[in-house]
Amino acid sequence: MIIKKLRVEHFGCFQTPFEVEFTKGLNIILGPNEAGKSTLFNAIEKSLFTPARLKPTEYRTIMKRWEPLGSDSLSAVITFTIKGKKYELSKRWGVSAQAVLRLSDGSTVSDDSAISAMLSSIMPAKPGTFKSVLMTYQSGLLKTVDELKKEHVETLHTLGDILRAALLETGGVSVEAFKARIEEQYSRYLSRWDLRANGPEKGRGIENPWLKEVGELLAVYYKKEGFRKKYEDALRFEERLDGIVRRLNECSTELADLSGFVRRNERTAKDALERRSFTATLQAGRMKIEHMKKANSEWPVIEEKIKQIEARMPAIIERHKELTAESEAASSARSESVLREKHQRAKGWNDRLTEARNILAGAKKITAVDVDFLRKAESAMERLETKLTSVGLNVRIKAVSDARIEIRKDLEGPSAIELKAGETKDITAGGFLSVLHPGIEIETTAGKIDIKSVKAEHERQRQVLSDTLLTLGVSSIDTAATVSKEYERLTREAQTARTLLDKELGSESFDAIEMSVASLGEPKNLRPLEDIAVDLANAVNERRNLSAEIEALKKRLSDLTSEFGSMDKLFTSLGAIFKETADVEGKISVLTPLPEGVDSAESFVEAFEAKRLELAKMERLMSDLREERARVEGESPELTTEDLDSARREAEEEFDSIERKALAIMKIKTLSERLLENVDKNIYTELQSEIEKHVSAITGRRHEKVAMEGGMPKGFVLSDGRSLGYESLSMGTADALSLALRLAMAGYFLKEADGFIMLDDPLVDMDPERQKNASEVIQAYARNRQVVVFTCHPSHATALGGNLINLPSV
Amino acid sequence: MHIGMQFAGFPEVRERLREARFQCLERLVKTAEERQCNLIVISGDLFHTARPAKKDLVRATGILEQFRLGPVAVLPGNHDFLSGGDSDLWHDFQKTLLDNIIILDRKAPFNLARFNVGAVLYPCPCESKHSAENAVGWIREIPLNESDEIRIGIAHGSLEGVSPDFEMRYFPMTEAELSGLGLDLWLLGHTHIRYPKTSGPSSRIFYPGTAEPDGFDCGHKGSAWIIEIDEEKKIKAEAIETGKYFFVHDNAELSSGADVQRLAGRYKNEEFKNALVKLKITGRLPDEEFRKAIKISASLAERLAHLILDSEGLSEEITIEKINSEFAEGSFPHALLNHLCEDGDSLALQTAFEIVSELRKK
Repeated sequence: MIIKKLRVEHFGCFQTPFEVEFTKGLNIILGPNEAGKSTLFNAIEKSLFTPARLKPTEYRTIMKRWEPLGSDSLSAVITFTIKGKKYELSKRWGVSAQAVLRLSDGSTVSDDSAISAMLSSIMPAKPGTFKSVLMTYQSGLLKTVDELKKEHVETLHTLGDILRAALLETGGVSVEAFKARIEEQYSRYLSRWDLRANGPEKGRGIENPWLKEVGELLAVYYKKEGFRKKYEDALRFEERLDGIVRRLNECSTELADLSGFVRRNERTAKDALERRSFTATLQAGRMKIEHMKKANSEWPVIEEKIKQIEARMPAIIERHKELTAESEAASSARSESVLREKHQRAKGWNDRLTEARNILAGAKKITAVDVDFLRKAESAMERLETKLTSVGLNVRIKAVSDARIEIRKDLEGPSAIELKAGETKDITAGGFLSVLHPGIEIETTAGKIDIKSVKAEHERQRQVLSDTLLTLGVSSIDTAATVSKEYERLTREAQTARTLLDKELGSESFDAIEMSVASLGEPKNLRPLEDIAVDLANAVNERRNLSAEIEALKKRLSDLTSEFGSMDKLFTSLGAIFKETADVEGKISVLTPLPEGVDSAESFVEAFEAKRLELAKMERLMSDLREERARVEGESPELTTEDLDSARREAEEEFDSIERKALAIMKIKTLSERLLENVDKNIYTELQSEIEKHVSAITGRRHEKVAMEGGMPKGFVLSDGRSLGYESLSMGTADALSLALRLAMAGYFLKEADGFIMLDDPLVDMDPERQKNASEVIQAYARNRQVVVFTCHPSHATALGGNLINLPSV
Repeated sequence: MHIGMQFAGFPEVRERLREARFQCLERLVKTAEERQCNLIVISGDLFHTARPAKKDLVRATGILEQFRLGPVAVLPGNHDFLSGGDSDLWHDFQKTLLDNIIILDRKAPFNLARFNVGAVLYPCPCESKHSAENAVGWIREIPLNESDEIRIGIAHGSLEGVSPDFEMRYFPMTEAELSGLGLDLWLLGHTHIRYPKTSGPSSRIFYPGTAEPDGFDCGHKGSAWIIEIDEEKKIKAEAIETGKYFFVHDNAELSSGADVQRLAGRYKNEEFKNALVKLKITGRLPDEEFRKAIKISASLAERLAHLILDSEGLSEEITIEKINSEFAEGSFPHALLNHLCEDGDSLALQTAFEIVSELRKK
């Protein structure tokens, strides 16, 4: 694309029409400040890329500032060639806005969008590339880099593509487009598909499916799963229906059997019911006959028996009376005998009492008290003697000469001892010893015993004892005791006789009894009362039994009479019953016989009724099952399991096919990413060397190594290896790097195509040497392309040379 | 017959396939009259479901009633099974029938004497869609009539060694079991393939196969048996072709221009107008031949009732030499295609090549 001419009318500072002609190669637009350089730059850019018909706000933002004073519109016409073909693009903004692109063949396009689309297709670079790389005005390196990074990302991508293309020699295949296509294909096939899990993303199966952005693989997976689920549902439905139908058929067979049975046996059952009733009547009749037969045979027997008993009864009554009288007599005799015996026993006791009293009256009376008194006196004496003799005294008497001495020891009386001279006599005593020799009485006592008192008491007691024995008339205590015992025995005997007599007599006196006995005559000779009693009891029993029997017989006779009236009537009734039963037997004989093996009408009717109940139950069950079947059939799926199985298999085949395709896409994606990753590591290497070539030329080889960050330079690499960031560069050096970057990038974008690049005062901050070097670089670059340089420095214009366009001062 | 089948997998030809069932039934009746048959037996699955559309039911009975030479015996199969006592289907069917149609809905001998046919039928109707137990057992429980009449068992279900019924869910029977029941002939339904393939003097068990094919598992053109039994009960059976539409699994391996030419010549016969073909094309062809083959394969559908084309296995022959000739060495497409070529994944190679070629055109 080569700009041939630009004509502006009412644009910026140009109030009147102004026209500039450009040549291929280097064009220098020289003018002082405010001469309109910036206006011309914007007129070119707006003509090419800003639609004529703008919204008011857009117009105010983009174009208003270029609107001349007093005007409500502005216009420009740019003429250019692309691949040798001439185009003229005229635009008017503001009031009466219009755009017209005149083509080389004379035809025109007047729609902004169409013009934009056409330009985009024929221009050597995209609008973004022009704006960010090829047409920059007043932008230093920093601004260039920032703008590219922030505002013209697309340009960077395109540059990356260009660089890749350069490196990979794609021969027409855009790697970016390839990547986009693969992404699009990947998304088309594998969107929402989890390759690792080999299923839907997040496990969202058919129950909770993804609804948006569903790739083909997932779509066909859902389709396959949908058929599978429908198949399972249909299978469940069919099995459920099968179950119901099977039960219906079973019930139907059972129902047919039952209704057949009921139908076949209905008559038999009805007859069986009658048979049951007739049989009962017959049985009752037969029982009645038996009953009447029995009465008939019983009746005369009873009557005869009553007669017999009544005949026996007087004798039995008489005998009863006799025995009663005999019993009473015997009972009276028994009482007399008892009195006599009582008298005999009382008399015996009375005799013994009299005898005892007589003996007692003649006996010596020594009581036990008397004996006790004697024993106590004797005992007191013994205690005193013991007291006196219990110590023991031993005295040896040695006769000096013959002597006679009187000895008294203890309670003993005096005794004399004759001793020869020289004779020795040992005397032993208890507690007292008295030796009396003429002229001498020696009394020896043991301890402090009052021998006199003891002796006196002993004597008193002996006297009491002796007196008492004397009084009682016995010689010793033992005799007294013996006499006392005998006296007491007699006393007890008399008392016993008295007690027994009293007991026998009770309240009566012996004399009264004796008188009663005396009044009785001689004892009578009668049968024992017990024998009479036995006979009497038998007689009573016999009489009672016969009375009861006769009573029962009469009762029975009365019953028979009240039941049958009379024997004649009974006989007549019996005949009638016989006839009735014969009639019933006749009726039974014409009824349907019971089936073979059936015991009774009862059991048959029971069995029949059970079947009929079962039939009713079965009919209800059938009805329920039919309802259930209808309900289930109402849920019938549209397709059968076979249809769904077939559809499922088709879907599975489809799934397999799409899966293979998807995996192929996946493989291509993975492989291409791996290849491009390796490529991306190197694609900017060439750009870097292009920048370094220009930088080296402009800086006179002062800077030869550029540090890159992705596709953008970030400064220089110094000879010692350190990096110098562009924020640390001088203005002139930064401009050198900016110019080098721009030229390098423009080279890539334009390649061999015709194209232009616009530069705004590229030499302004450079020293003269670098200005010279930069001019040479620009001149060299402009040999094959169109370069438009805007400058206000005539010296720069001179240094650059080329087509000089002088702008007049405004 | 499977009247009322939905053919969900073939939406484009669905109506034609549904209609074909009735046409086939009409042909069967017509053929039976032409061949002077005195009994038509439909051994199950006249209808595809136990609740067919009323109009289908009426239409089917109307066709069967046209047979005037004898009775038509219809057995409820596992698709149109007896659905319980007064089954709606067979109840309704019965109401619309003339006397010549017998519904074999009872497991009891059916003497055809009143139709002047010296045969007794032993029907074994299905009472559910699935059953692990077949329906022939009742015959064992009854004394067989020892008269001269021909005893024909009619049952529906799978036969061991003949029908695929791996889960034993379709009233499974065995030849030994059927032979042991002492009947003269067994007419079976269910399996869509004819059995025996050819009849011999000792053949006593017959599956007609489906009369009008209904899917790709029917590799035939529809068939029925015309069976003749003489007084000595000797059997002569003839298989006849009865279907209109047929299903074909077809494969084409293309490796040369000649193969492509042969592909172009396929299905030219008129009969293929009624064919539903599942064609799998595989092979690798040079660029021009490949494009030609793709074009031809797409055009084959015009000659068929329905074409399911699987050309995934067909690819352009992309060799290292081709890649080298079309892409500069070291370029991205060259590197990519080269890797895929070495990998041997022809589908990935083909796909990548198509993308690269398309982008290059732009």
